[in-house]
Amino acid sequence: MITLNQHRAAITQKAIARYTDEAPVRAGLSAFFPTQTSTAKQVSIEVERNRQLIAVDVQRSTDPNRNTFSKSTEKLFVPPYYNEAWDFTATDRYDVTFGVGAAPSHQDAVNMITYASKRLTSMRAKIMRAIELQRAQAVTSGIVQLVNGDNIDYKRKSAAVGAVAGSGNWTASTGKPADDIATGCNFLREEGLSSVANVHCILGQDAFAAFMNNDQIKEKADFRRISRLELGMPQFDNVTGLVFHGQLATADYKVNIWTYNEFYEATNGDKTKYIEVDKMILIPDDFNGVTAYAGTPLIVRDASNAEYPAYIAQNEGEFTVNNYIDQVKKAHWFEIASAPLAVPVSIDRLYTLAVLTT
Amino acid sequence: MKCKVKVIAISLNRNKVAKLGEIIDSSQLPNPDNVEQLIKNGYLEKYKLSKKDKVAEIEVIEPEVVETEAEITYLNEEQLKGLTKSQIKEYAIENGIDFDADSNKKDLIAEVLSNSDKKD
Repeated sequence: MITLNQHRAAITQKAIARYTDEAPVRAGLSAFFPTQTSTAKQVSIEVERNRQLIAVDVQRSTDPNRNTFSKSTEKLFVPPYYNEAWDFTATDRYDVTFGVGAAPSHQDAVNMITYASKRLTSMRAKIMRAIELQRAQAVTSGIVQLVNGDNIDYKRKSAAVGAVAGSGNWTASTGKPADDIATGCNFLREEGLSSVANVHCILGQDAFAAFMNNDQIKEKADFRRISRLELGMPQFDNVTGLVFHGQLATADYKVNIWTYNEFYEATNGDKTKYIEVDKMILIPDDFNGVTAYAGTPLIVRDASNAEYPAYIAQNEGEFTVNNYIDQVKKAHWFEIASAPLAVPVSIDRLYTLAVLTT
Repeated sequence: MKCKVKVIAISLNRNKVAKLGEIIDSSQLPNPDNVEQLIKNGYLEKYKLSKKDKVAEIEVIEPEVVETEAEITYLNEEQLKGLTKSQIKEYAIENGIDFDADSNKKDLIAEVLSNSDKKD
């Protein structure tokens, strides 16, 4: 029974504002890994290696230089599967409608749908953060780490996932960030066969602080008649979470300086940045990556089909939503599933450096 | 063979990942025979144990613990009389002396004394 006190609240109180700290997921690396969907459970990439050889002259009327080309190799991956569920019977309206065997009124239905939609959005955000972490791991170490599945190692070259020597530490007076960036850009050009001069440099929080305090950078900034470094006020993009700081020219490359300090939270409350604080990541404009979504199971119901009223089909899409009554747990689950995998297809067009080693 | 990780991360057995600067054993690699190749390619470098590490690696021999039975001193009749019935039962259970739980205190004391003698 509702007490008089509870009625009083409706007359004497008013909620004047509402605040929720649920923020949209800012996935800055998603631009480098566009989406591809399929119904298949496995995804693959084909890689054909070419070299930048030069033709050698031959004498007329002699044999030509005969060429052979390597076959492309196909790499097959099974994307990890994420599945988040929530019990619909936990809503108050469920108790006063289905819970007592009554059909929901229009208002009840709207309320329940809104509530379910909010919970599904929240669970989708969890999966989106996991995808962003995959992308970050792919561009940082090249190893996508999974909890229940086997880690996926893209086997990046050792030169692309190295660290500065002790004397090259960016916080040391002998540290040379512009030279390290040039070395990375040369790797992208020579090993990754990148054919652009425009490179994005994403710096971890501490790496950026060291970059800004470094003598070599300050010296570049002091040139009055040569403009090879332009750093201004940070420009925060609220959609991607990336922050643009300016441009640096090193060797014959134009490098955009970014920071990306978005983070995820572990169940114990620990907050971790997607980009490790001491890392520098170089991604050229012609980097080729994919967020591949494999098929996910979808419960298809067809009441008119007497023989097969329900069956499981593989659904193509980024996310699949199912709802079903669990007769064992006596719950009405709403679940959202996804099978994504961040694949750096042009694996050698990535360069990562730990710049604060001791 | 002990190795130091020279790259940001490297895959190990059992879904583990070793980070830059960690010391690993070649047996932890998915393919231990591949260690020389990984060193050659710059993923790992041979790690030489320092004097300090060597000292830490010396096996610590735990002193052997020999279990000996403690000598049990059984209570005499006077001491048993000073205890309550439940205390006598507790004492008998602790020392593994047989007794009839339904006996009165007098019989219980006699029984415990008699069975204590048998244990000796």
